[in-house]
Amino acid sequence: MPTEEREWLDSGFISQEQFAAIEDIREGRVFSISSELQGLLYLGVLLLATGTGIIIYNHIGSVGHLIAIGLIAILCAGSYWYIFSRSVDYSPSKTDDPNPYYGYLTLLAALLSASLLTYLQLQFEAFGDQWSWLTLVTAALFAYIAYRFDHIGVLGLAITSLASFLGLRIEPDLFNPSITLDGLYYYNTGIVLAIALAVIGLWLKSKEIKDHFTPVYMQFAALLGLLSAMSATFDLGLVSWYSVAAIVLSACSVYYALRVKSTWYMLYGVSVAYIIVSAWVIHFCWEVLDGDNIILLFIYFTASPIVPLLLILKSRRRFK
Amino acid sequence: MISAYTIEQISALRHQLKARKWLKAGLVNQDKHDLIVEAYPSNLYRVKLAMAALLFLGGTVVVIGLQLTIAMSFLNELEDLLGFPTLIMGLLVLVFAEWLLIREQCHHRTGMLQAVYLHGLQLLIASSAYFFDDNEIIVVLTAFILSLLASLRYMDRFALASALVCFGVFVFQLFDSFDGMMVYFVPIFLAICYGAAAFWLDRLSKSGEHWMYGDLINAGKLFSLILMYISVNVLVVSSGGNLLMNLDGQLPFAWLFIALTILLPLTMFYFGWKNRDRILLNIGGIGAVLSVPSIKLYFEMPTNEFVIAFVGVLLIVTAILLIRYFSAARNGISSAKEQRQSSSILKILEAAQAFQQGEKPTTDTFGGGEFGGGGAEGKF
Repeated sequence: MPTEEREWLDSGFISQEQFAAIEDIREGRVFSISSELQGLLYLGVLLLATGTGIIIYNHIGSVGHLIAIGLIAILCAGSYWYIFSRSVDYSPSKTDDPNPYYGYLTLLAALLSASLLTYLQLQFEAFGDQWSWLTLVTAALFAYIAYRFDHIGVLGLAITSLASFLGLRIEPDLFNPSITLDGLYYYNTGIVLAIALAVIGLWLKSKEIKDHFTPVYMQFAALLGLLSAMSATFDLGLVSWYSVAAIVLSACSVYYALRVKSTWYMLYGVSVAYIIVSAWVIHFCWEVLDGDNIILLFIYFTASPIVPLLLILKSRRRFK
Repeated sequence: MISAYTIEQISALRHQLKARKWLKAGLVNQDKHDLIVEAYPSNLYRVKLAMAALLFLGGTVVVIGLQLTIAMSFLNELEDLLGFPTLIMGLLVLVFAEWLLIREQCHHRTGMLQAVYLHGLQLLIASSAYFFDDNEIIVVLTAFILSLLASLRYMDRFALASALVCFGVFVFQLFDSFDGMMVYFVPIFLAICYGAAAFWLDRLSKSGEHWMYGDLINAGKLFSLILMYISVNVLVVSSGGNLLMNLDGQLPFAWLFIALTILLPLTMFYFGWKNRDRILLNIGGIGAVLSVPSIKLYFEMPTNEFVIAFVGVLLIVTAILLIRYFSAARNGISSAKEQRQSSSILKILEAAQAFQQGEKPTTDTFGGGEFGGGGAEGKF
């Protein structure tokens, strides 16, 4: 069967050796099961971390809990011993893991530490009744692990813990995915935290300190900021500075998308801006025109996406 | 040819995609990649996933808004003849997709094309409901045929998945209409049909006859295998029986479905491993994991937190042992990433070539890293 690779060989684009190597992979003579084994490893880490969390929650104060905690502590200590003993020295640039499972054991160590800290709080009330301080300590620990052992996943956990310390959380409701925001404090906190994360991410990038972490900061910043401003707009009324904030943050997201050539920030920015502007139009048609001109709405919804779509189509080469 | 694209367009696109694939794998360097892309220019317009999602949403809003505007304007006049305008509208939308998006702008998996043609198909299906008096069997059959044709015409995996699901619904509706015991055989019949489809697509893929549809054929095999497993999964069949036939948990031939829930993924896994077929291997592996919660309904299994933690430890240890065992490739199977392997392969080949020519081998070719025995050494 003639293949593209054969054509390249005939045209001199690749050497016979390169062709042979490609054919080995294509024909299955060389078969990598790396991603499958990493999936297995990830599943194992998740199950172990979940299991230990439930053990602590269910068995605190019972006779056998000390044994369980002891086992978890041993596992945790073992994980730390392994990752410290195999780690390369800290470097502000990206470092490679010494082996394929090192990253997963780092994640396991972080998750088990969080379980043990929770146990300390439950059993000894280390932070009194101030549970939120536990999440701050956990966030600090995660941040240390993320930077020391160069682990993007643990950095995500650190940012999530920090948001949790500040009282923010996302409801895992498929049909109503929104930030739980019971008041002004949470909207403001969400927006301020988003701006702070973006500033930190960009500053660290400018200083070339783990600049491959910047996308994590920016993703959290974009989602948190846009969701907070949008939720506030719908909760507190369209005529509020939050709707302006949502538009400004959307513009920032689109600007950043064009700058780093990332389509995701473009998706976030355009979607939120479109939702806010559409809400304004609906509000105008309903409140000002008393719903008499519903055809205007249909015309709006037909015509309105055309402008952003044309802009996107025109700017498509920027994202290649 | 049924495809909306020419052989030259698809061929050039395949060259570009393959060049990018082998560039990522470290088997072709950037210069060669650029040369290949230049030699096979493709005018097909494709975008990244996020952009496709955005264009899909935007396109959907436009076509629905346009349709509602027209419907609101002419509904009173056409109320008695709703089927015809729906049919005409559907055809017009498809003509728009063909003429403007494909012929003029060469859209190919852009999201916008999908939004437009899917809307056109929905209108055609809706008109069939009107013409055939809401006959569910005919509506689903129409959906199946149109989705299948669309998948071939636009080379779209989404339409193919939709066609395969529609086929399952059609079989259920058909067997259910016989008012007998036939409906109980739907899961087995579907599993056989999807299994046969997967087998046929596998043969087709290996023969290379329809190379233009290579991606679609592989996607079809993947979807067929997933649907085959879903068709016999005891939890799905039991829940479906309760929901659609009020079985109240009394599933006929439950033992057969339990056996298939366990054995089918294991069989897929075995053949995936034996034939080095990644699709079979992955579906089999995931299916085997999903079998555990599926059969929990029928078997008392210890699922307390200690078991969860123990299984976690077991998986971690197994994975680490396997990674170490396959760190040096055994029978061509390796736990190293493909690009690491390929870089290592090239290093060996390059070193051998340089040795023959009496040259010192370079150490930075293709950016792959240092060779370390089967590509599994620490430094890359």
